[in-house]
Amino acid sequence: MWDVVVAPLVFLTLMLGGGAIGGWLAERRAQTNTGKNPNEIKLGAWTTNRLAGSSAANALTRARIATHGILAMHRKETIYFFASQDDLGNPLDPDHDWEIRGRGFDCRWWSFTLYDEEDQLIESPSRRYSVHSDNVAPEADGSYRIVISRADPGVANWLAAGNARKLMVTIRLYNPSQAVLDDVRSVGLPSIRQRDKGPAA
Amino acid sequence: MIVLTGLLAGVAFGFATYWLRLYRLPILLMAGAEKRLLSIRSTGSNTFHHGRAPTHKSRQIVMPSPDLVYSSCVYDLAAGDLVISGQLPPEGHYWSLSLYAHNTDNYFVLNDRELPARSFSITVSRKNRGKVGSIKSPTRTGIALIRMIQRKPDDLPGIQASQQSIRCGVVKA
Repeated sequence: MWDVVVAPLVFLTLMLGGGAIGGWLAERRAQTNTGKNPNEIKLGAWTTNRLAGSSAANALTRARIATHGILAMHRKETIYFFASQDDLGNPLDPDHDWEIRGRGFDCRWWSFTLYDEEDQLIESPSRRYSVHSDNVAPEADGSYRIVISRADPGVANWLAAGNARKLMVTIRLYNPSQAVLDDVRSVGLPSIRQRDKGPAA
Repeated sequence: MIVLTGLLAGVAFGFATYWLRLYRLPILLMAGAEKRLLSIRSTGSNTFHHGRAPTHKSRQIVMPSPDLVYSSCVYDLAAGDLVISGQLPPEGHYWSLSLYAHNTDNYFVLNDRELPARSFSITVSRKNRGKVGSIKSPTRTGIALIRMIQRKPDDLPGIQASQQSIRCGVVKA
């Protein structure tokens, strides 16, 4: 009885338990290594990866890019920044209004695009899915202010949150300058803050 | 003994499975992207499909850029090299050609500012041909993607003319 039934069952159970532990350990190790990876950069609310799209990317970076931004371009061509939280680390809850404030970037062309929980564009009554260097309405001092909200806030630079359940903003810098390529931290990223007076997200 | 052996075997199995999944994931997602791109055309691989700027209804690829007009080609080099040529849109429009391996790596990219003229011609090959304009693909299959920024509706005729000029064909090595 022990040899035929119990022992294999015990062995199988232990293997399954060990498998879960092994998977957890492997994931933890990969995440820890990524945290130490100088190519994964967090700047305020924004994150970027210097090896996005590159053949030199490690397995975890490649898997992440493939999941959330397949067919991303090499950083020489485009640098991507992602934010799904505000400056304080609160998730960008679509039931609240958010404001992005900043200045232009040292590159050929830039854009802000809003995505939903499936990393897809969000239906907008204005059919405007992005604010970019050609269509942005600047403030008097040359800076810009972009509002994210479900309802039309009556401002020029509005990104509609529609019926999204989660939000992510992406900045694309096309043909970034050599200075930005050399030091991505010098780019001058905008702030993201809650705009409405509701409870913090 | 059986406890220790079972536990260690399980840990090793879990570790190996996690890394295998991590390495295989981009390939599986790329295969899905290739399949979806092929499903929106009737001509199969090694031909370009010309799209319009994505909207909220475009759901073939995650995180599409709504400001770009895309022309895409799922390539397969089994029958020979792939020659891609064409004309660029009018001056001032961003244009780029990217090549992606089957594991999602963007192993080649060329933009309008890097070209001496408003036209281009490249050959994608499995081997290093050692010629100008010849690009070695790390994998037999992949995706060629041409991006053009559409700044305003008036840009579309120039972009469409560029799309229609794209020629793509297999030549025997």
